[in-house]
Formats: sequence, C-alpha cells, structure tokens
Amino acid sequence: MVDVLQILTQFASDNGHQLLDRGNGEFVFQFNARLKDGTKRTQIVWIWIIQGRAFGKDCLFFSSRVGTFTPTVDLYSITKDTGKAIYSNLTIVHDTDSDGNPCESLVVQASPILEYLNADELTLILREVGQLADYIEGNYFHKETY
Amino acid sequence: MLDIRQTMLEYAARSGHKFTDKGNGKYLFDFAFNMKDGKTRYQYVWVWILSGRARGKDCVYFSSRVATFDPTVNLYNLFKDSGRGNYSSVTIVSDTDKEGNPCESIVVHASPIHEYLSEAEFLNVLWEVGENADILEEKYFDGIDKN
Repeated sequence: MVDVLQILTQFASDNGHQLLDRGNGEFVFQFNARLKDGTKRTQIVWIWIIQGRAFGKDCLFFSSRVGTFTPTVDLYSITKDTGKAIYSNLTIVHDTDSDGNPCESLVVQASPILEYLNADELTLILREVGQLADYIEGNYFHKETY
Repeated sequence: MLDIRQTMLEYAARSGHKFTDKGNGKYLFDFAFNMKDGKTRYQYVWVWILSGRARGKDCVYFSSRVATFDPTVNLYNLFKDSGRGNYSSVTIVSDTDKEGNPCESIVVHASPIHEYLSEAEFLNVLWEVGENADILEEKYFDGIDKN
C-alpha cells in the first residue's frame, strides 16, 4: 500500500507546490501553476481516504472545487469537456459558501481504490484533478478563487 | 502488461456475461445484471486501447451508452449521480443513431492507464462502467433497457 503522505510531501517539494496535513487523515494540496503568459494560477485539492467506498475497498478520494452551482451554469458544455478526463469526474455536491450558507458546488473528484495505486498513478490523478478543476473554473466561471 | 482480451474472455466465461472480439482491437462486453425483482437487465460496454491518451501513456478505454442526448435531458441530476463513479465519468459524445443519422449520446466512460492496471482493477472498472450506465439508463430514461 502506498504511503500517501510521503508521496504528496515529495511531489510538493519536487514541484514547488504546497502540502498541508490537516490531521485526521485529511490533506490539502495546493498547486501553483505558472501559465505561458506569465500569470499564476493556484488550485486546491483535498485528499482523504474513504473506507469501503468501492465494493468494500478503501478509496483515496480527491476533490477540487470549481465554483458554486447555479441554474445558469452551462452543464452541457462542461459535460462535454469532462470527456478529456482519465480518472476524474465532475459532480455537484452539497457545500457551504464562504459565509457559511448552504450551497451546491461543482467539484472535480476522483476516488481510485487505494490498494491498487502506485506512486506514479497517485500523482497523475492528483495533477489531473487539480488541472481539470482549474481549467473549468477559468473557462466557465472566469475566476481564480480555488 | 495486462492481456485485456484474455481477462475479459475468462471473466465472461466464469460470470455468465458475454464477450465478443469485434476485430481491430475492439471488444464488446455484454453484462447481464440480475435484479432484485428477478428480472435481468443488459448493458454493453465497448473496450479498446487508446494509444498515448494520458501524457503519452496508453489507456484502456471503456464506453457504455446511456441514451441519446436531447435538450430535455436533466443534466443536473446526471451530474449529481456522476459522483458515484470511482473511475468513470458521464459525458456527451458525437454518435450516430440506429438509422445512421448523427446524434449526441450520453455515455459513461473510463480510461485508466494500461500499464498500471491489474486484473482486479480492470474488472472493477469494467463492472463500474456497465453498472453506472445501466443505472442511469433505467433511472432517467423511463426504465428502458436498450443499450
């Protein structure tokens, strides 16, 4: 079984990203990306283990927030764009906004089975979740909040 | 590297599902799901290898058709249900209908990297794609079982 904390720590250190161990098995990984035009974008991915999620097997859950869902969000275009994903999917989840009010959020998530994961696959999925969430946030919400 | 043809052949033989080698590296896996009410529902999953899809690495591509997309489809609900997937997602692709006319289809698909796949993980993804597509077809398209 891979050592999730060790892999995340190494990956963050090697690539100039940031990792925060929140305790209770929750990790926050912050991507710091520099775009071709010189601007910087960041994207936060939450990571934790969900026991028994896949036919009783533990999954490593990745979740990255894209934006607040409202009926004006273009789900048709976003659904078509999710076809580029390898391991991740987009979904709508119950959430709270920055003021603590209930809302629904659009998130990119992935939840591969932990016992099948190797280090390369873990970092590839982490990068995919962060990049896809940031791409959709930028492309459809025209923001850089998360 | 996992032999996906052999893996599906053996799995079909021991589980009562059907497997067809369609040639040109394309495979068709036909699930027969036994429901709690004693009925059987069927779901096709197409499987093939896509070279270089993930940062140059080959992926095993799984795709299972849910239904034809039209503007009355409730994407909000489909999006929420998409969250059940571990390896799969719901998307809309260009397709052709039975009469050969262009259409758009809602599909469940997955494309894990081939070199990382074990037999157990492969079969898990295959099952998930077929099961999720069939659940969405039944739940949001009036219980039909066409795909």
